[in-house]
Order: sequence, then structure tokens, then C-alpha cells
Amino acid sequence: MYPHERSLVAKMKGKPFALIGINSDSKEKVRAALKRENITWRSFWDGGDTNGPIANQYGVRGWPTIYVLDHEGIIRYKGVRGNAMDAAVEDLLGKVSAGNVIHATSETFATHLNAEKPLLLDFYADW
Amino acid sequence: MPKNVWNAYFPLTFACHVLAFRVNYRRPVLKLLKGSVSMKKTIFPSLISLLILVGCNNEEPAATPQTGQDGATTEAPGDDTPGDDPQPANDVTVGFEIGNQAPEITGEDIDGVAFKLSDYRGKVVVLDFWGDW
Repeated sequence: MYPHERSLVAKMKGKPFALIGINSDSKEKVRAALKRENITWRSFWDGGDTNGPIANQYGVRGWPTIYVLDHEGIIRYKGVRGNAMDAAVEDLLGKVSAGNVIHATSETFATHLNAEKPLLLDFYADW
Repeated sequence: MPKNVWNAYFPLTFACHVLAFRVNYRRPVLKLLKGSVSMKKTIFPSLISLLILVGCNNEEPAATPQTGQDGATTEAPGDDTPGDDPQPANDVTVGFEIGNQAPEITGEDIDGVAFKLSDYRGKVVVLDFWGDW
């Protein structure tokens, strides 16, 4: 599990993608795993056992459980592992960039600029 | 009367109503006082004021959907400011099936820093329930 997810995160670096974990271990056990497996992605800590609030909220009964969400937070794939997970992410990333409006962040800005498409840049704030 | 008068279009609608009041009310009253009323002269300003009022009333419904219902679904993809709009789009069901809006998750990371799933709106997200066993 870890090597594949590590490679996915590395491959998607600079793209509008995030892997978010929900971890059901004790904090000591998570910390050990993060270090040993060189895990860089962020996880919610779900209270230290499999009966945590987030697992209960999502009705999770088996681990790992995977949901893949698009950029609007809509569930698009469930239970995809390995190459299927990569394909799902690639598919949804394609839909992000197919849109006319891209929200660049400091991480993704350079990627969008290098996409060799005409861009109208709008620096804005919500006030 | 619209339910909520105090929207962004208030100055515009207010100006319309003031204009309508001046044309509709003040001018015919002045003419009545002067005693120079004829059908042609009273009906014409009334028609103008009616048109102005119709114009004003058209302005208001046009304003409401722009500010209210135009959520993330009808706008261009990604046009959803992260953190600004934690509510899911109105016409998408919140749930756990494919096509549903994923329910909001709020919690803390391993270091006790609070964050939430909607912080990542605008990005493709893999949610991975995991444990080291």
C-alpha cells in the first residue's frame, strides 16, 4: 500500500491533487509508520481506533477504504487500488484542466503557466 | 415588495423608486394644484412611471439568482473559492455514493492541527482510510 501511494503523490506533485489519509492507529503507531514509510501526505487522526468519529461518519468497515473526489468534492470513484487509483486521479485531473477557469495556488501556478495555453490572469480576493 | 430589499442592487432600485415617485406623484399633483389638468397630460407621465416601475421590478428578480443560487455546479469548474463556500452545491446530494457530494470532514492531523476536507476544494482528492496493520 505505502509504496504505491508514495509514488502517486510524487507523480502528482505540482498538480491540483491531494492524498488525504484518515488514520485509525494510536498516535505513537502513526508517528512510527510515518517515519518508517516516509509518508508525506496529511492524515486526519481518527481517535486512535477503528471506531473513530470519521470512520463512523463514513460508515467504514474495512481498511483501507478509498474514495476519489473530483475538484468540487463529488465522489467519482470508490475502492480503487493500485493502477486503478492512478487512472482515476488522472481522469479527474483531466477534467479540472478541461474547464475554462482554473484556480491556481502558489504550488500549481507554475504548472499552469507552463501549459502553453493563452491565459487571462485574475489576481483577486474576496472583499 | 421583494423580501430582501437590502441587497447589492439597493442603490439602483432606490433610485428607480425615487424617479418613479417624482414622475408619478409629484408632477400630476403640481398640475392638479395649478388647475391645468388634461387627460393627455396626466396619462402620459403615468405611463412613463409605469414603465420605470416595471423596469425596477425586473431588476430585482434578475439580481437575486446571481447572488443566491448560482452555486458551484452552474459555474465554470473550479470557480469555487476554497474556504469561502463550505456548503455543498444546492442540487447535489450529500452522501457516500458515486455522484454524491462527499460529506465534510473536520478534524485534526497527527500533530493536532485542525483542518477540513473542504480546504482541498479545487483539487482532486484521494480519501484513504488507513491503518498500519
